[in-house]
Amino acid sequence: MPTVEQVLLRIVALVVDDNPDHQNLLALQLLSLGAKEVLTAANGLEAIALLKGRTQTLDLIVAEVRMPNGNGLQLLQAVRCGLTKNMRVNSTFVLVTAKPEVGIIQTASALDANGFIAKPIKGAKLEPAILKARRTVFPPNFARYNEVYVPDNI
Amino acid sequence: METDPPLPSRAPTSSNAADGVQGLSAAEYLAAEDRLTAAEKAALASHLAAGLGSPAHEGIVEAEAVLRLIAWNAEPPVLEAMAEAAAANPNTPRSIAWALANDHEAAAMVVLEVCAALSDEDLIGIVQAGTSSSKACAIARRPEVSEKVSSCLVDQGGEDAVHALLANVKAAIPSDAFSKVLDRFSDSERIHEGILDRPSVPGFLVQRLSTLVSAKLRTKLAERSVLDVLPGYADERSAAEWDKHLAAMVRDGSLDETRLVRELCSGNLEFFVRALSALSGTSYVEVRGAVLDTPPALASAWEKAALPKGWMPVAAAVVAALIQTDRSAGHTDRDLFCRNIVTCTLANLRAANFTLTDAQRRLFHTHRGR
Repeated sequence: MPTVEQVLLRIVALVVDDNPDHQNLLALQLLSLGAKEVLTAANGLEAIALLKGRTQTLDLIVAEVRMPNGNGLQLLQAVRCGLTKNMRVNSTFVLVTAKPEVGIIQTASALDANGFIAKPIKGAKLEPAILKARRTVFPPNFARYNEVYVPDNI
Repeated sequence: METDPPLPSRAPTSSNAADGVQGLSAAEYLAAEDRLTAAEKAALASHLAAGLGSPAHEGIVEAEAVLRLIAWNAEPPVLEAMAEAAAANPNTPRSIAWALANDHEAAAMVVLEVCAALSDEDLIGIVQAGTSSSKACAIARRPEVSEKVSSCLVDQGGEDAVHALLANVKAAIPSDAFSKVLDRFSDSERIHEGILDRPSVPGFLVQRLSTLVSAKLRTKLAERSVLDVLPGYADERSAAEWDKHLAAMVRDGSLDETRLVRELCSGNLEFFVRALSALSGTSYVEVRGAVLDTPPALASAWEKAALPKGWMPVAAAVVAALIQTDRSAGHTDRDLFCRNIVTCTLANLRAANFTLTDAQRRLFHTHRGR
C-alpha cells in the first residue's frame, strides 16, 4: 500500500469553504500532508470560475457542503457532469460539513462523492479520509448525475 | 467545559449485542464514530446492513445514511463485514452496493459477485473502468450474467475474467461474443476448454475451434454431447433479433407447443429456450438453466408459458433424447439425426408409460419421415 507521501505528495488541491478560518485550516492541513499546492475559493461559483480558468487539472477538491453562491453539492454535480472542462469528471471530490443530514448524504452518494468528512476536521481524521477518497474511483455516469436534484438552499 | 457526547446506548459492542440500533441517526453515529473500535464499527455495519428492510421499512433511510458514512470513512475490515451482510440481504439499496463495489477489492468482490441491487449498467461501468481484474472476475461469476454484461466482459475483460465467464453455466453469452473470445484468445487452451465445457456452443464455433484446439482438446471436441454444436443447427441471431422474430410468431399465432417440439426434434435447442423464455416471461438465463441443468424446473417454465400440460412430458422427453443421442450422425446427415432423436424420444416416453395423443403421434410420424 502506498504511503501518505506517495499518495499526496505533489498533488494540487482546491479547498472551497465560505469560512476563511476553515478554508485556511484545511489548506494548511493538506499542505502538511504533502500537497504541492492548495488553491482556495469561497463558494461554488468562485470555484467553477477558477477551474474554468486553469489549463492544468486538479487532483483533489475538498468542499464545504453549505455555502452561499453555489453549495458543495452543486459544485460536485458541475464537476461530475463535465461543466468544468479542465477537471476529470471522476476527479477526487471530498465533501465536508458540520451538519451531515440524511438528504445531504443521499445526494452526495448519488453524485459519487469520493469522501465525506464531518467537521470539526482533525488532522488524524483528514489523512485517512483523503487517502481513501483518492483510492476510490467511480466509473462516471453522466445520465445518472444529471438526474440528481440538488437544491440551492441546503 | 466541553465534553464528548455520550456514546449512543444503541451502538453495539458485538454482533450479539447489536439489537436495537435501528433508528440510529447519522448525527448520533458521527458523534460516536471516533470512539468506536474497528470491531464495534464492523458489528454495527454488519447489523445495519443485514437489517435493511424493504424501501417502506421504517428507519431504512437513516440506516442507509449511516452505512454510507461508514463506507466513506471506515477501515477495510469494517467494510468487509458490511459487504458480507449487504451481499446477503436482498433489500440492500443500490447506493450501498455501488459504494462497496467501487471500494477496495475484498469488500467489493463479495458484493459484485452476488448483490442483486447492481444493474447491468453498474456492472458494465466497473468492467469498462478496467481498474481491477479481480472485480471483473467477480462479475463474471454472478448467478445471472446478462448478454450485455457478458459482451462487455468479452470485449474488455482479461483472460481470467473471460475464463470465469465461460465457466459460469448460468451466464448468457451471445453467439457473436464467442467469436470475439476466439479472436482475443486464439492461443489460450484454457479459454478453448472453457468454450467446450459450456452446455451449449454455437455450431459455427465448432469449426473454428477444430482448427485451433490442441490434441488434448480435440478429443473433447469430438466427445461433446450437446446438440447445438451441430453444423447447420446454430442460430446466430442476436437477442434483439430473437425478440423480434418471436414477437412476430406470437402475433401470427405460430408459436405453439407443436412448433416448440418440432424445433427441439431438429436439434434447435436455442429456439426452444428463447421461445419458452418469451412465452413464460422468464429470463433467458433461467429457462436455459431449467432446461439444461434442472429438468424439473422445465415444468414450471412450461406452466408459466400457459402451454398445454399434456405436451410438457413430450418436450422433456425430447430434451432428454437430445442429451442422450449420439450427435455424430448429425454432422453428416441431419435427417438421420432427427430420426434418431424421435426414436429416442419415443423410447423415453414408452419407458415412462406415457400415452401419446393423436396430434403428438402425427407430429412424430411426420418428423421421423422427413
